[in-house]
Parts: sequence; C-alpha cells; structure tokens
Amino acid sequence: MEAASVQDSEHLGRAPDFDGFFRSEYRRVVALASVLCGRTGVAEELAQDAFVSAYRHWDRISRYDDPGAWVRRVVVNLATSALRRRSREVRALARLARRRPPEPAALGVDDDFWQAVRDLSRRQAQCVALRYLEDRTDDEIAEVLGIAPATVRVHLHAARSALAARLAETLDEEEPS
Amino acid sequence: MSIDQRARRAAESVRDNLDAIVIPEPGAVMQRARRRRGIGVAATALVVVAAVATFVFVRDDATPPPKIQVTGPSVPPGSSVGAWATITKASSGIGSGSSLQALSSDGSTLLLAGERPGNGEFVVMMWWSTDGAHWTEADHPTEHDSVTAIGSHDGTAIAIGAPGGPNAFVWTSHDGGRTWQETARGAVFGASVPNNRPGAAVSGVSWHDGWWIAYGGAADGYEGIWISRDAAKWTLALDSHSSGSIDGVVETTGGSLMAYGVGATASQSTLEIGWFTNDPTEWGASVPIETPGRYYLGSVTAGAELAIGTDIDTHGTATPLLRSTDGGRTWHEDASFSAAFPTAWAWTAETTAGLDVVAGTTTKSEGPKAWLQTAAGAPWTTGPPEDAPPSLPATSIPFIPPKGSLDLVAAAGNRVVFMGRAAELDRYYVFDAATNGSN
Repeated sequence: MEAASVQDSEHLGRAPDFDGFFRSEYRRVVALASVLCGRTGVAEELAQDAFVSAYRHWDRISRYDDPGAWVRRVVVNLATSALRRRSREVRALARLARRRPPEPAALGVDDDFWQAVRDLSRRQAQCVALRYLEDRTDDEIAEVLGIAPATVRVHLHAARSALAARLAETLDEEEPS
Repeated sequence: MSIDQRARRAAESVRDNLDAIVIPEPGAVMQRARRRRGIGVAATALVVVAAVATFVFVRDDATPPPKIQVTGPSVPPGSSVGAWATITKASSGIGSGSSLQALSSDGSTLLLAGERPGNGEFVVMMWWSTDGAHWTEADHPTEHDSVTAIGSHDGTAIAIGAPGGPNAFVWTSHDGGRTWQETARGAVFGASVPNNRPGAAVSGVSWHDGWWIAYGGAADGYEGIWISRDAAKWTLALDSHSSGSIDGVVETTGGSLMAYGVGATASQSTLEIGWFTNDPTEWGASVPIETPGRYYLGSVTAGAELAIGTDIDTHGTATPLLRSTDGGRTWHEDASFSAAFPTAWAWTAETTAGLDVVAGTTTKSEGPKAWLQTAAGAPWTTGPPEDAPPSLPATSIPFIPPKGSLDLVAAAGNRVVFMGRAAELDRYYVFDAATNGSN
C-alpha cells in the first residue's frame, strides 16, 4: 500500500478539486456499481475504494481529460469480478441473508432487468451499464473499459440479444451512438 | 416493449433514485483508508481473557449412543473404495433446523459449528463427534453471531467468530472440543465494518509450525492473514487490500505455506494471485498464479496439488478439477474429470482419509454430490447414492441450490463426513473409506 499517498486529512485541503470531483461523481459511480453488483451497500464500499485509489494518484489523474472515466474503470472491474462471484462471498451472503432483512437489491425498480444484466458475461454487463445508465457512446465506453469501440459494439449486440431472450422482450436495433 | 426501451426505463428509474445516496465527507472516506493501514496496531490491543484448561480427553462411553437413522441405499459390500450412508440431523444429535458453518478434524475428533434458531434469535451451537454419526453438544459461551472457522491441532482447538469488527470473538478448547472458553473479543481482526460488507468474516483457520493462521475478509471489510501463538493475541501478518482477496491458506507438499485469492482487478494476468512463504510472519508481495481459462481457485486441498476451478464470470457453472505439480504456482485442468462429470458444480475439495474428495452439487441441481478418488488417474467414485435427493423447502436465501449442496468435508479415521450449510437440508452423509489396501 502506498503509505505516502494518503496523508493526514489536512492534505485534503491541498487538493480542493478532488473534493469537488468526489461530490459531483460519487452518486453516479455508486449507481453504476450498484446495478453491476446488485447490492447498494456493497456498491458504496466499492465506489469509495475507487475514489480512494483516485485520491492516491490524484496528481496524475486530475490531469486526465475525464478523471471520471478512470474511476468508472476501477469500479466496474471491482463490481464485476473480485467481489460478487467468489464462492466464499456467496457463502457469507447466504449466512447473512438468514440473519437480517434483505438489503435493497439495487437502486431502481426493475431489478429483473438488472439481475439479467448481472447474469451476462462481465464485459457485456459493463457495456450495458455504461450505455444505458451513463448514456455513454461506444467511444466513451471503449475509453472507460480500455477496449476498442468495435469490441464494445460486439458486446452490446450480444448483450441485447441475450437480454431480449431472457426477459422475453423484442430485440430491436438501438439507434447508433 | 423492446429490450432497448426496457433498458432505458430501467436506467431512468435508477437515476431517479440517485438522491437517495448519501454523499459521505471525502475526508471520512480517506480516513477509513488510513485506518486500514492501522489494523496491525489495533489487532495487538486485545483484552486477553485467561483460558487455561486442563487437557482432559473425555470419552463419553458411559452414555449409550442414540440410535441414528440411516436412510437411503448404501454402496453394496465389497466396494473397492468404500460405503456411503445417509444420516438425518435430527437423529444424530445435531438437531433438525440447524444451519452449519464450519467443520474441522484433527484426524480423530470432528468439531462442528452451527446455529439453531431459538426465542427469535440465532444461537451458536458447537458439537463434537468421534465417529461422525453421533454428535454431542459442547459446553461453550452463549453467542448469537456465527462461528465461521474452526481449527484443531493436537488436542487444542480454536473457533473464530468474526462477523463484525467490534464483535469478533475467539474461543479455545483444550479437551478436544468438549468445552470452550473465550480467549479474545472485540476488534480482534479489525476495527469496523463499513456498510456491513458481506465478506467480512474470518473464513478459515489452520495450524502451522507453532502458529495459528486465520485468514479471510478482515473485519473492516478487506482481506488479511492474522497469526497467533496462543489464540489470544492476533497480529495482522498480511493485508491484501491493494492486491486482492485471500480465499484460503494451505500447506504445500513441500512444507511451505501458500495463500491464494482473486486479484483486485482480476485481469487475465492477475486473475489468481498467491503468496508463498516458509515464515507465517512474512508473506511478501503477491505473485500471479497461473490457471487455465477464466478460472480462479475456488478451493485448494492441503498439499496444493488439487483444486476446484471456478469461473470468475458466472456463478453456478460447471467447475473443472485443477491439478498442480509445482506447489500451487501453476494449475492445469484434469480433463478426465471434466469429461466424466461435465455438470459437476463443486464447492470444496479436500485430501483426507487417503482420498481426494470433491463435494458440491451439479449445475442441474440434482442435490448433494461428491466425487472421490484414491489417487490421480484412479477411477472416480460418486455419491451419495440416494434414490430421491432431498427437496429443500422454498427459501428466500439467494444462491442456495434448491436441492442442497455439500460444502463441509472432514474425516475421523477412515470415515469422511459430508455436510451442507443450509438449515433446510435435513441430512448429511458419511463415507467409510475401504481399508483393504485398495486405497
């Protein structure tokens, strides 16, 4: 861990633009993590992890054209991989589910849709969340995920086909972004 | 409605609820990051409760054993590998309605932790058994959170309950699990649990060369390895937060220790990571562990020669068997297992009673299943041979296979015990490995 990168809280005073960035982006990053991991509380934790990472490297990240894209790349990777699909996590969830009222699954009312998204492959789910929740273009999604725009289009097409079949909806071609 | 329209409406409903998300103070978030680094200091500030008990190995010979109810067909006598039996919880001493959380053995005595509902809350239960068929309730402190890990070595056993930062507890037994005393309580494994992160629990504990080694989700929501000489004072030996998870710690055939988990970013090159050491106090930096495809190590046996491969992208898919011949650094798929059991969905792997054991269910949800092998390349034996697998009552608990799964495996002598965690599963299974030299 980079001990020198997270200093005393006074350090925040020397990076006021980080505060503004955090406040303006936090809710949308939590929402993105929430639809991908399915649990709002966990999503808040993941989003905070992503912002802590951004803060550690803020001198560099603040010079990016879109620091928010960097944070989103971190959070979608966290939300779709290391946390939710580990066997041990599943066991812990089963144990906890017995003990407490179920946490709201995710923000929003159509959880069948988001559950179907979470059942997609990792990349497909990320692309769908960034397209619809964030309303991002193919190029923007490609930048966030660090993949080619053509690859994004392939993932989105496959994802829409899979979702339409799973949710018994019709498949139509989305307007080009 | 088209899928595109539905997606846009679903997204709009999420955006409409953004105001419900409370924005924390940025300083508080950074403060938490700093606090994680201080876990090692906090873990040493323990209240130590004296826990010295005379080693008394109590045989319960005076009490006639209850008649256990064995159901289902057994493997016919003469099986070259062994025989199965099915035992109901109600008749074994465990009791119906108990969920089970941890199972351990020192080779002769089995220790079991679970929970039983009572008076509107859950009560931790501890049992011990020398035959896997008759279980006796142990004498232990009253507790309403979960014991999530048990370890035993040479007559001493410890049980760890770490479901929340300030509420962790450690119990110790010096009489083979008959009586337990509290040896640590409080922020033993960390200070706080932001947002009740579900993985925050110590998931395993083992003994190695004079050290108790506990691992899993730290009580502040991240991953760690803690070590202790006496089960009272625990020190954080590895904080994996910047690297990834710690899903297990095993001793390799070479006698060193291997910790393994999923990389924090889980890219192809860092999907599985590990730490290798001969000194539990020093773990160093993580190194990539090579696994085939998109599989991470779901469970690794002692010796680090056999593991379950679990797909990082999809929960509930078939799990190939992986083998390693270099102490766990690289893994390859055992194609014969995948070919023979293409729907195997394994949850745990153990090497015990002279057998390689894999347990879980199938992707077709055919109920509890186990696969056993005497050695790599030998024929597989499957079980339990029930005509009608159990049908669990409807449950709202996510992820639980509807007809149950096997997740806890341990052996006493040549008897291997297979259990599932779900309270709704009313039975468990034992397999008596043959001792006729066929093993």
